[in-house]
Amino acid sequence: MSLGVLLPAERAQASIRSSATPARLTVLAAAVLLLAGVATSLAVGESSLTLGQVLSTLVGQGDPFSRLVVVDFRGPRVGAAVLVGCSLALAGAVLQSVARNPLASPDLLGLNAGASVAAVAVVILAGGNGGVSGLAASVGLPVAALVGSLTSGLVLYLLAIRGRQLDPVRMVVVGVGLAAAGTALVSWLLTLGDVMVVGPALAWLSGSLHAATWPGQAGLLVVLAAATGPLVLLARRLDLLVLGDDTAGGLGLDVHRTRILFLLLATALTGAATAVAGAVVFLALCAPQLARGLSRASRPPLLASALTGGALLVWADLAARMLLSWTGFGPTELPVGVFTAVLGAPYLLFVVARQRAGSEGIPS
Amino acid sequence: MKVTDLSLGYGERRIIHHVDLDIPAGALTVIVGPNGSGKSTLLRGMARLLRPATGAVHLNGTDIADLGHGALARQLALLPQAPATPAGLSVGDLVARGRFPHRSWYQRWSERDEEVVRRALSQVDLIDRADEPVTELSGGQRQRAWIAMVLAQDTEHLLLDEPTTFLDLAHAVDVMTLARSVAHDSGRTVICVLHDLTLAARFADHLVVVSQGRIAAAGAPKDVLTPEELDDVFGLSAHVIDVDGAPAVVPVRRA
Amino acid sequence: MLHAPRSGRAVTAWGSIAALVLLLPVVAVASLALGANALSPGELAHAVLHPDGAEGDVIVRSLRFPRTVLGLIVGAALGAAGVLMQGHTRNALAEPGLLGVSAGAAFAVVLGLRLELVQGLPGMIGAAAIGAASAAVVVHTLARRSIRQGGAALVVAGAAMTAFLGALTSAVVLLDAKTLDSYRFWAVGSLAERGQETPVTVLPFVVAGLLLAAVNARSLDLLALGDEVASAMGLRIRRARLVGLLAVTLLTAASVAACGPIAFIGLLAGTLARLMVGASWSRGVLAGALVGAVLTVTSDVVGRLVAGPGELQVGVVSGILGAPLLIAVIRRRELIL
Repeated sequence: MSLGVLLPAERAQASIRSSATPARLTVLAAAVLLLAGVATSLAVGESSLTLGQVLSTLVGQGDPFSRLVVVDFRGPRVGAAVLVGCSLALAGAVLQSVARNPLASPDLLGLNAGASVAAVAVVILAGGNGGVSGLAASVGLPVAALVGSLTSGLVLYLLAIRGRQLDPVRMVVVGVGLAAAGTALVSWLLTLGDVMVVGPALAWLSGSLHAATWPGQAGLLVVLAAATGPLVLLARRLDLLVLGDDTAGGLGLDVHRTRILFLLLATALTGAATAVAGAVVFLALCAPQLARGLSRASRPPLLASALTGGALLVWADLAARMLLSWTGFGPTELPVGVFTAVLGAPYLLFVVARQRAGSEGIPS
Repeated sequence: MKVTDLSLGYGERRIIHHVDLDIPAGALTVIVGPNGSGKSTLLRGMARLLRPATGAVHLNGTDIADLGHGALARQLALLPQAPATPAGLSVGDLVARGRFPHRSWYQRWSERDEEVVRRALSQVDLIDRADEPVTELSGGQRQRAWIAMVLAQDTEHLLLDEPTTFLDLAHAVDVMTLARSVAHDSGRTVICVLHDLTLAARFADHLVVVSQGRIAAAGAPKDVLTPEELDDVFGLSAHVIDVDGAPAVVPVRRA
Repeated sequence: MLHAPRSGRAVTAWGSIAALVLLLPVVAVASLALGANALSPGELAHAVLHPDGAEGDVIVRSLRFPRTVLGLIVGAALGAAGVLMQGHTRNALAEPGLLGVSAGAAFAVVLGLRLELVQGLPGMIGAAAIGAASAAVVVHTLARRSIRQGGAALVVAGAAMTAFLGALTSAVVLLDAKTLDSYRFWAVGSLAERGQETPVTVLPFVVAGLLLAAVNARSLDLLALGDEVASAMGLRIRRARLVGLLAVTLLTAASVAACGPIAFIGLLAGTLARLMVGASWSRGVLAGALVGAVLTVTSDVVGRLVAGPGELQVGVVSGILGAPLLIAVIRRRELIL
């Protein structure tokens, strides 16, 4: 064992830390994919626009018809897809780092379920014909979803922590239990309402951007913007949390407070996103892991995860919107959440099947 | 480091009872004891991962309870038992994380950080493997990478919790040689929990024996490790012989 | 598990089983008498012994009697299925609802109805059996590596399977308002208004499943010592696993087709049964079936009483009772059996 400060010549130039190039490329690729998805989604539909028309409308030129289609018809939906995708993926990236478990995501941890119970309660109990409207929709729904997801986040935290230590496996299993309990409550709520209310409620539950409006996503925009600041400032602490509680504590991190703060941020993002789009499942699980794999990072990178999530949801929503009209399978469109679940659940099963028992952060 | 009247426990369960201890500076102190004696708990208390029920731990005259998280982490580093290694983390990145307490959130990676990390990697002989994922390393190398991380923390005190667990004898000796040289060559205070008496006896400058949450003996290995003490604390009948100037524990062979 | 002397332990176990057997008629009578329209013992006796078409007679004979019998049958099925699954996976959280087996049955039923491939309860049971077996095989295969450690991967795989099949089920019902309307009442898990014939139709399937479960439980006692030991003692492991799968499939499919997915009964029954009878799987299956029957009927009665004049479906009550238990299991006990 050499004790001197001998620097081999070939290492003297480059930094000892790994290169940031894969991470930057991932961010770039995800951003391109996101923008392409937004442009395509705005252009494609019952009345197709050219890319030129979309672009000129976006910079404020465009003819009135294009303006109507882009800004009023398709805009809210595409905007919601971007915001929801980014928020959920951010929440997933944060939770996976905090729980040191690639399986941690708002849906598996039951945060979605809490938001769903609260929101469905509002829809069923306050809803008139065909769903909620007015004040109940614009204020009640987001607030209820936020409260619901914060409540389940609190319960999760209290149950998953023992002796101030967080057990990554326990956290996921507690979450599965919370989600199952939430499902039972939602099933019951669904039997209470009129079938005209239940249909939209179930579609919303399955994760749908169909009813997105500009005012409806203002709350999500506020939460996302508010969460970005602390996330950017504190991202470095996630690097420590993934090393385990004792190591992070030994490196001078206030583990308890840091973890609560991150959980709060993830929970708020989940609640706000769920209020807009319902339970879009598996996105928060897949997007961060995809970004992590491409960036070759030790935890899901935040910016790349958010962009990946946004891109995935925009494209998935476009597919959900167009699939039925292309295949002629029926007049109704599939909720995008059905789409993400059908694609994402096999991925989760693949992760479970591939992982070797006892390896890092993985329930064995 | 000075421990006075320290009591520790988890919840209601008290594990360490009113312990007083002086740790010599610039030397390797090894804490041994039977399973469940509380030796790891004592180490966690010294690192402030557990709040004391009574008493205090002082570093250079300051109660560690009065230090901020960052201030403590700049004076004292801890390597937990069997730490979690995230997949995909390179050796260089792992060791770089040891610099966390020295950087505020607005500070970028500095020349000084780079230099300290390189020195730590050279010290554990992994400078050429900085780009490899930690999970690809062998058990002994992985443990050395983690030790490099706490070395990069650049602290006066270094606490290692069972750093030789899961290592074969050759690699365990490697790690203890490293721990000893860190203490002797750079004058740091290294405190290490071990369960292997033979390793402890060969490498420790100062040996602390913990039994049932109390200090049973402390001092130079040759003064502490006597057949009577071993029988008393560990229930072990053994010869203690002198090899290369350090005591070696050899269990009695019964017919 | 404490090791009490074997005879003492067995006495406690048989005592618990006897207590459960005595409890059965009590909850059954309660289920006949209680509800939005509570009956006096006299009215109840009148309805049972000399029915003459009075209001109470109609309520008891055509409404409450079928649902009570159905509750007993379905509860026994789910309880035994829960114990069997816990034994085979060695996981304290295994049960049809959590591991995606019920979701598989539910999806197959909904798809079969929508495509008009199945009609009536026997057809639904057949479809449910195919769905349940497929889901069970997939989850078990994928998480097999983790089963030796009895870990959470199985639960996660089950949750993924449930979500996946749930999404497919939503897709099917959302495309058709008629299916949606009947689906939501079926999906919640209820014993009400299932018709007079339903108990009769599901009974043979459940009896067959329970018999297989009883046979299989003896193999489980050996499998609990590990596959290597069991096979060294002459057990044919593959056959034992297959019999177990067949039993779980029959029991789950019959109950899901009849009442929709009722969550947590299997988990509650499995956990309570092991508390009562200890490590013996043979007694565990019997106790589990009894606990399941008692719990299901009790949940149904509770649902009728707390939400009168309407009612809480049995699946909701069992969910509300079961979720805290699930979390208690996770917090207190080892997940590995």
